[in-house]
Amino acid sequence: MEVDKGKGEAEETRKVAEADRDTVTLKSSDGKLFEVSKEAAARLSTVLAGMIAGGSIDDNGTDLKQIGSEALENVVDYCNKHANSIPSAALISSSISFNTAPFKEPEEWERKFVDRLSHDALFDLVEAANFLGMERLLDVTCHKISEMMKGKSPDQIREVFNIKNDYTKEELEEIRQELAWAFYDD
Amino acid sequence: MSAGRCLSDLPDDLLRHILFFAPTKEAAATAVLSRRWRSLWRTCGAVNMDSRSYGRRLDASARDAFFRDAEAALAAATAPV
Repeated sequence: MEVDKGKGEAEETRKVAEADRDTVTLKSSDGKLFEVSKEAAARLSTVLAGMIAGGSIDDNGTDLKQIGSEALENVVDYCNKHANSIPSAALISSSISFNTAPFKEPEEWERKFVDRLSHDALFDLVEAANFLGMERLLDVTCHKISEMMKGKSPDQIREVFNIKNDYTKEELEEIRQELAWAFYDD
Repeated sequence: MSAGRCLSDLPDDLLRHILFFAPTKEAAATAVLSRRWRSLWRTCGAVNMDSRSYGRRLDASARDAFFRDAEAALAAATAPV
């Protein structure tokens, strides 16, 4: 009985300590731990906001089994950089929904942040942002990929993004005719 | 999530999200990339007409082309835009 009581108290103390902390610890699929500002995590990720509000954050590292350490490091880096930059009013209002709010162009630091990523890291980050419900990060990463496609011919896009052409010649001709307006000055 | 990933590893919803940001002419042109891409652009939720795809100065014929293409793009898009 005494032991149980002691354990309960320890648990209580731990929970209080956790509520007082201003960071949360996240654990990648490969077991690495990352600290992130609680405020930024809750503001930028609907999923983390829900976990923080629902008390399902583990002090020893909240398991994010779908996210590898490189992607999680980038997520945490993004959150912490965001916490340090002064968010403009437009950015806050644009976080409602990408379908209803106009997209606000990436800020200088966001541009630099995605520019330094390899293709693999960028694709992983798109998936991580999607999984964590990080609308702004999802917009910024997807916008970056759309910019990488800009001004390239279909052949160049296939090469850059490693896409296999599985059409027959006849099918390709059919699509080109159907969408002639998209190809007339190629 | 390991090394050697390609764009096609992303689910359709995320590819649509990427096309959402592309000028419509370029988004439509992705239909020829592969079978999977054939109609993604139609359901990306945006028709972004960019006058810069029509030369630096919008003369009368460029303007006509711009509106003709806008009409074609809106007719081909199947999601509400």
